[in-house]
Amino acid sequence: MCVNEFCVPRTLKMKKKEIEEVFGGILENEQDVSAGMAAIRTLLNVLERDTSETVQELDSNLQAAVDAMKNTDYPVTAVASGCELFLRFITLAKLDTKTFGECKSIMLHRGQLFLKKLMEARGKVAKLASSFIVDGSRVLTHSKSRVVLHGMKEAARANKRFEVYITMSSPDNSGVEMRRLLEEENIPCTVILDSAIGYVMEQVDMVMVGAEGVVESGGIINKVGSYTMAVCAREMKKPFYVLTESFKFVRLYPLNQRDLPNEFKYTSSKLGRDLSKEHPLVDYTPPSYITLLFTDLGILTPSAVSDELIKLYL
Amino acid sequence: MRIDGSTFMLVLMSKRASKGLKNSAETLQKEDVVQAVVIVDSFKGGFHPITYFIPAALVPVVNTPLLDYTLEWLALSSVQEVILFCSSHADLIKEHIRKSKWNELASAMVITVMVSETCRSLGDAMRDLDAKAVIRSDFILVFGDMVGNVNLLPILEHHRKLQKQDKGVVMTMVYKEAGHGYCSRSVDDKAVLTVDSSTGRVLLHNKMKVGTKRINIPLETYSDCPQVELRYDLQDTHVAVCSPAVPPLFSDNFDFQTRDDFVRGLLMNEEILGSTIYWYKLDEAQYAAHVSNWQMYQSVSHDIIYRWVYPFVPDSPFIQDVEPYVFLRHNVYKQKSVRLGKGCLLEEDIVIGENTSVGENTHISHSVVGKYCHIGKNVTIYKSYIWDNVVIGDNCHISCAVVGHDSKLGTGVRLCKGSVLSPGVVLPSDIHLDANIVVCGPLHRKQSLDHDVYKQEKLAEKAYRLLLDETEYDSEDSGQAQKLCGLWLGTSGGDSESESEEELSASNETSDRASPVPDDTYLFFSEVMDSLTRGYDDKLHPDNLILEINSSRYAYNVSVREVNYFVVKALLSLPIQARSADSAPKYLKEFNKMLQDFLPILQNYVRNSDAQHDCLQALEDMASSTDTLHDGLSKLLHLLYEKDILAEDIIMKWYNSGDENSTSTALRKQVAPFIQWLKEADEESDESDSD
Amino acid sequence: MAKNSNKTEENRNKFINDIKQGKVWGSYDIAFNTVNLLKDVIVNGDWQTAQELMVLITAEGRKLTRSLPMQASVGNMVRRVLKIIREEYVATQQNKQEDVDAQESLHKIVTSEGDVVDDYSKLLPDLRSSIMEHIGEFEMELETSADNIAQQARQHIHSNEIIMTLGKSASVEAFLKKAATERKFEVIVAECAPFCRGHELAVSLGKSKIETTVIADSAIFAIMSRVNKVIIGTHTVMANGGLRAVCGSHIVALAAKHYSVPVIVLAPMYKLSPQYLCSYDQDAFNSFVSPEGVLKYSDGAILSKVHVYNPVFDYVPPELVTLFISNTGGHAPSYVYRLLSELYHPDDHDL
Repeated sequence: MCVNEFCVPRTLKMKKKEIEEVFGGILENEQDVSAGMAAIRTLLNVLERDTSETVQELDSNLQAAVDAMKNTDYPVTAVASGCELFLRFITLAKLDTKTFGECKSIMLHRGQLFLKKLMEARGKVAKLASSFIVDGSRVLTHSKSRVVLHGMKEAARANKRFEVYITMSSPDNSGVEMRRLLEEENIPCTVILDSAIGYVMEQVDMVMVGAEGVVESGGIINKVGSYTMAVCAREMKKPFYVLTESFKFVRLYPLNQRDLPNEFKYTSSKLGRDLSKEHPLVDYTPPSYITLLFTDLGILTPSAVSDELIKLYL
Repeated sequence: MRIDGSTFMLVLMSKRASKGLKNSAETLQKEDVVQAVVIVDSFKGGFHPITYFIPAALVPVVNTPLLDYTLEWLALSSVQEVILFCSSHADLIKEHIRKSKWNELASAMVITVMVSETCRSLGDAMRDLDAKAVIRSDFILVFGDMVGNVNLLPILEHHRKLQKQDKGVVMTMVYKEAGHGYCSRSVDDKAVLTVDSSTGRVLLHNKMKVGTKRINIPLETYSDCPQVELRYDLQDTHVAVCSPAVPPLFSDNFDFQTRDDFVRGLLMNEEILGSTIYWYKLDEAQYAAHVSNWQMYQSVSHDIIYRWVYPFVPDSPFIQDVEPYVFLRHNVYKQKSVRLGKGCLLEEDIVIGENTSVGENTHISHSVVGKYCHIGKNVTIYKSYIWDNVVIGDNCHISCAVVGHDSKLGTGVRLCKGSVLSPGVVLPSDIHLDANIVVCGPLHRKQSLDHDVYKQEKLAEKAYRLLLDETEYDSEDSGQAQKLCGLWLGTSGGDSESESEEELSASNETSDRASPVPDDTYLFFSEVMDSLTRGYDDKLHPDNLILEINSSRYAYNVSVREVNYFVVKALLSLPIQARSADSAPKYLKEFNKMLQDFLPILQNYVRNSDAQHDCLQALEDMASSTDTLHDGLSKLLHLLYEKDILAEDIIMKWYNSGDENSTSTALRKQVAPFIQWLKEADEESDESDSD
Repeated sequence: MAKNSNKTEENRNKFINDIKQGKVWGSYDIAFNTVNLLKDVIVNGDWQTAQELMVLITAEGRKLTRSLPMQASVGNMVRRVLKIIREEYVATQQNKQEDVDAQESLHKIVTSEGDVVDDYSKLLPDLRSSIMEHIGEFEMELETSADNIAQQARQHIHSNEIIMTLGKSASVEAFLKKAATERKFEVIVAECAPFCRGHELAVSLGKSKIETTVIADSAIFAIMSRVNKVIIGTHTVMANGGLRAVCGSHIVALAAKHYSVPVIVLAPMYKLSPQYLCSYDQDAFNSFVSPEGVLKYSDGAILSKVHVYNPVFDYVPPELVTLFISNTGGHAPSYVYRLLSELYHPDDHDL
């Protein structure tokens, strides 16, 4: 470890910048790609261009890349989970081949496979979710989620007439962007204030949100405001559905809001400052408030999520 | 399944044989096979003139042809052999059966189609069946346009049990209790049923014709049975379980044309024919109805949508290839492939077929829409029935109407109050139809049956509006189109409907077309009319005429008072009928002339005070129904008084005993001057007498 | 071969008609007959590889579920048979009794070596016999499921308890009768209008010398405070652990929740369905029969002014259920997803 730090500070720094550029580039140029997917693609990119000779060097390079990405100002949760899975994936392969080159090519191949599977994930989730949107229903959603958008597009294509309420979701007002995207599909939508969630809840039939991360207990980490929405939904007896891809499963078990790691809640630039004056970006919704999770592995109850994670990591 | 007439028996045998080979383990006795006879045409002309284009049995109720309901219902009752008897549009029926699932080898029910083009009534059909001798045991008799969910096997068992007790049982009629105020009984089906409570035997069956408010029940009915029930709350399902003796009975009596004739004939001549009829009441949960006219169409559609006919509801498919409907709140049945525009409102009680597209801001309620329809924007559809493949333009307003298959309506069309469009009509834009029947092409003379004459008015290339001729005494059909509207406006709807019919038919009492009722008195009356007309034309001696009338009277067993009544009536109608006197002065002239010849006849019959009462009654009846008599009534009374046919005191008694209704008060007002003069004459004569 | 397919079609039509006419009735009978029908297809069908067989069975299943959308056990049996075929194929191919977990999992995605899409198309000679054997075992399991559930009765019912139940369920009847041989307890039966099958259950229990009381549905909440346990049967168990049970079950479950009375649901495994409840208006979730039980047809004037509904089923959310007792033992509602993954293959969830 120390050797690496001393030996190649410059190249690493350059690489770090490059990585940030690549990562940022993907996110800016392709609106449709989520942070997690972008991270995985960046890592694949790094893997392709990597010139290391041993597995350990490769591993540390990748780890450094992950750290670099985490240092950007983009949401960290998805990056963290996606990268962890990716690393696990490629290293779980049988690497008892003769040369490192072969090893690397195997890893590359599997990386691309992984990516391909994950690209299909969103479609599967959308298909599952659209069957739950029936004709005449009113859906409440929070902020901008690409998966939820995809799900609603599917439902609209199936000739279902439904209405969407979107929260403004300060501080970045991404709800407005969501409305613009929905109106392109001719779906009638209304943007509401975050504080109006309780007011609107009695009129809606269901709540559908995306997730930035799914924790081991079956709860989710999502844009701040999701927890409030979940509590309100439970009180008004409305179903609370979460749409997410499976690579967002995170190895965390928070017991309350403060248990979430700070790096998830605040962007890296703000981490240095006095956190008591900052607003968190995400919050944690416990599994008891969630009715069902729609993933590319199928429709899961929150208790099934922990089962999945156990199967993976043990 | 394309079999007719002579080849029928042979094919039936081979089918039986092949089935026998397949199920060699089962010994299929011929007598155990449950047979059903479906008379596809109900001969009532309720859907006239749509029946020119499609047979009544293929009229879709809630997007399924009626014949399918009937056949599926029979399959539910485990009927094994069905004999379909077609008379009109036989090729369409055969085509329909051929394409259906009943034609497959795997079907448990065998359908045989028999065709007879000359058949004009149920009686003819039964005679045909008798001639072909296909009935082997008790069979179920239904029509082709029935909807029901009753398992008929228990009724068949009940019938067989009855046969063990009473050898003469020929028919068990099936009825359903229908409450008052709910229009589930067809207007022409209302009857009072008098039954023996203990055995269920039908004693009397009185058809309540429109406007009749009284029935006569002879005392003999009560003498045999300790407990008699009179029921007027029954809906006639037109299902009957018959014994094999029924077709021969039809063959023996050629005047049995409809089932009502049959029932009446049997009940009247019970001692002679030795046959009895029983009735069977359906349980609460069982449903059966006969869709014979638009009123029943509406009522049965309503019942299906409200799920009374479960399991034959749109969302449980019994035609296996059709995607079932989705049952949503407020009784909205929708196929998955329906495309609804923005702002479109489906209110309640709606059925929408597959691949139909509904435009924006359209409002549909209480209606049935078929498949592959295209409904435009801003359309309002209310209480209507739209069949398949219809294109409706924007801004149309359709209420209480039926639009047949493949029709096209332009923009801005308004259909109101019971309009019926036949299949294939193309209506141009901005047409306003009010209670009209529109057909897609000019009706040829030979197509229309002898008793219907329509005036055709061309609206467009493929739209001809049908209007009834004024002189035609057939008012029932225009009534049919009008009956589509306002039937569900609550209980008042039922009453107003009967009142309007009274007005329609009141003026046409002399001609009763509904089904030729061989009422004895009516026959007598017509015979008297004939004799008198002949006598007047040929200048016969009145004594001979009296002889003729008396012999008719004995032939029809008419009572004395009725004789008087009818003779006077005949005499009064003679000038109208024979000489077409249509105005009061002309009438009086004719009557005067006639009276000179026929005075002895009148004097012969109107001898005592009772007869004079009858005479006055006849006068009153005729006057209230015929306008010409109405105006000349006082002069007539004067004339008869002069000739000493009527006495003053009888006239006064009649005048004072008038009913409260408007017609008689109007009459009495009419004759008031004469009565006044009579009173004065009386006083004068009294004074002169006292002098 | 055409003859065979005709025979299959004939059998299928007869089966569907029997159910529609009410000659075959009750989930167990329907499930059993479905398995027989599928056995016919396997024995007489025209197939060589497992994939062809699965295509045949899926087609059969689709036709059956289209004609009988309410009967979930038909679909369940088809899925079960498909799973058996898959298992047998894999086992025969790899020649060992492996516990094949076909559920899509993250682990699978992560560790899969390239595109391992096994399309089951290898020709295996012993497949037919091994499948038939497995199905035989499965049929045995079906037959004994009612007994197995009843065996667990003495663990759940204790002496001097007051048990509440609803309507008439064959499983509940057997359960209570078995417990009555060893313990003494009381049963309160809600009549479950308008079909009022609770009356039949009460008569049957009375004949077995169990003290039974029949109450009207409106009295459920009032009596609930005295009840120790609620034991109900169900028509189907949904994938999230909810129930599709006879109309009135939700009322009983809510009342039980209010008084913290445990709700035990007896459900043999063939009632487990991989379907979720999307919305209450979902097609083929509830069946509305003739409104006769609610309002009589002869009531006349009111009929045209009023909508009358007579639903057969009720949805009970999983939070209200305490325990499921199936032939494999007792399970929590949140465990249902696990049972599903053992019984059915995810690809078969949508036939």
